Amino acid sequence: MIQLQNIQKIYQTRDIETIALDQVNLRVEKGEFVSVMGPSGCGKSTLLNIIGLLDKPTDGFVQIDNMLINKQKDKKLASIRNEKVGFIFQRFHLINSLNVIDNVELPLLYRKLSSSERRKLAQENLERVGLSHRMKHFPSELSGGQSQRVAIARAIAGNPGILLADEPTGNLDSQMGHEIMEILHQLNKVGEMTIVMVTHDENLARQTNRIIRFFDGRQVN
Amino acid sequence: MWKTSFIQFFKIIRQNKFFTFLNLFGVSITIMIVLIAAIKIESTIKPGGPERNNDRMLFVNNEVLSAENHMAMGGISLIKIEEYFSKMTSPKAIAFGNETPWSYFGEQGVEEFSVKNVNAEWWQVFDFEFLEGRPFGTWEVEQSSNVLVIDEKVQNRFFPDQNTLGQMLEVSGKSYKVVGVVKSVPSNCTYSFANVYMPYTLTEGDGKELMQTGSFSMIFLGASEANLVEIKDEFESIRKRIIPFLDEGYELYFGGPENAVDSYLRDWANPKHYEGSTARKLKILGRFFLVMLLPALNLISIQLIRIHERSEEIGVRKAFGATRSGLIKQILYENTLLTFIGALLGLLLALIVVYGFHDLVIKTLFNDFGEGVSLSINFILFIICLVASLALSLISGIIPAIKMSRLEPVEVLNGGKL
Repeated sequence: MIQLQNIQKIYQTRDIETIALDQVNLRVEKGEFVSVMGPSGCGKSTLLNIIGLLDKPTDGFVQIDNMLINKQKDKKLASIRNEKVGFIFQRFHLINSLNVIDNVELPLLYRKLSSSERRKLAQENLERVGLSHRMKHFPSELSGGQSQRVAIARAIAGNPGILLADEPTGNLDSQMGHEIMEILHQLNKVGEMTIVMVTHDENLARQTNRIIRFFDGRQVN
Repeated sequence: MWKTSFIQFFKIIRQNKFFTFLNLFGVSITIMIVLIAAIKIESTIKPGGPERNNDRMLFVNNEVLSAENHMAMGGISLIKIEEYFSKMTSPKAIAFGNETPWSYFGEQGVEEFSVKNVNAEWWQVFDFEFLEGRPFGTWEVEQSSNVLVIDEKVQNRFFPDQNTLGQMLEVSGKSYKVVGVVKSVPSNCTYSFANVYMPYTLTEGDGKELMQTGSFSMIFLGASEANLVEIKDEFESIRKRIIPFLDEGYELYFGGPENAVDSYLRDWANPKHYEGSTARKLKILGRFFLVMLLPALNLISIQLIRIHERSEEIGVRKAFGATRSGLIKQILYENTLLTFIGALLGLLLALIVVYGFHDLVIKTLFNDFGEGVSLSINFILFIICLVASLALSLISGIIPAIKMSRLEPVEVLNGGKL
């Protein structure tokens, strides 16, 4: 379960103060598949980054699985990110020097697992996204769709309860986007993962349980 | 954890082959140059051979007679040695000698040999290895006996297939009896090197007046390092005793007595430095640090660029559970490991150059005066270079690593600036 209370995020430069999120209250239940929509710059990605503990709110409270995380120290935040949250980015953010299976193993490096356990888990998750035959390839040798599937395998390798996807189909054509959505639905239904997805695509959003709309940093529905 | 980091390191350095190459190249070439340059310095200040005990030796090479409008500089005059310094009581032994060339006109054209005219204690001060015979003694020097000691090179040239001892050798028109043969001295042993040694009393000598300079050098052997201070004090009191016997207004300075390092660092052209070479040492150290500053800055900037280039990867690692301290450790570990590999490569390159291109190195470092010089890498210096490089690597890596680890993951993912 994710709960945000009175979240405000202000970006302050020397001359300008930009309010990215203003008094956002949101609750996402366990197992929900929620999409977040709105025009560019309305605060969608900021919201996702705050839920995923990649960024800190200027004000307000964030709760994940009934744990208030605002005052947690770096080590605890890192551990929550590692165990409870998985990220899928629009630009994939795969590490180019590592091959596919090493990329998928990345979240598992920060757990107390042996190298054989890490490898086994990474292989299983690559099989889930249909890329077990590409394990030894490097990101530069993959298509956009394949790269995003590797990113999904990486996000779910540690079996997190929450999956955060920032425009996961934004860099893909419609066919590949469709394949990615299939995988996400599968993870939501079979894996019972809570998914929060930022998207510009109304059709994709309609496939989710709930649509949350943003405009100028405020929730509008 | 370290095993995983070690494996990850090799995967990561492939990411930026160019920077990895620059980093390794900078560190390894710098260390190689330092190690090879050190051979030249070390072979001069610690030459081995008969001078293997030079840490207990003090050298005096020059004297300067100076008045307000006049200055004479040269080797030490014989009168000052015979009348004053050879009577010093604090040294264990006192050697002195000068050098004259000997050109031999034979069937193979002109051959050059070096002749040193020395006293009897020469053989106590320097640790020569006698292959045959004996050194000449005090009595033979006092009597100006026509005897000499030759080295292997002269033996092989003039007496290849016969007994050498007792043979007569003609040097510059006079005949001398060979009483001993020594193992050839490497030419970097600048004080003891010669092909032929004969009593200094056989030459006319020079500097027979106190107001004259000469051509001799003096070498004092101390019983211990502590004894060297006493020798310096006694030498100084004698110097002061001589000054009243000089023409009015004249001062007398000596290039020493000093150890091999000071002797090497001396600025011969500047008489002011005859009173001590601390300033000269500082100047040389300063130059060394200035020269080393360039590769150091190069290493620092490459490390900074590497970390900045890796901002996306660092952001991804943070997003998937890396802690701040874990990231700092990882970055520093990788920097240090890369520098360590660079240093080992530097050592390997130095070994390849020194042993693979031995003759070329001798010619480059010693021009035509490298006969018999043995080259060897100073592993203590390598350890010092290694520690300095690792320290530099840690220092240059720690600030950007801390700054990068402090940024929120989203800032780093978006290419956050340090």
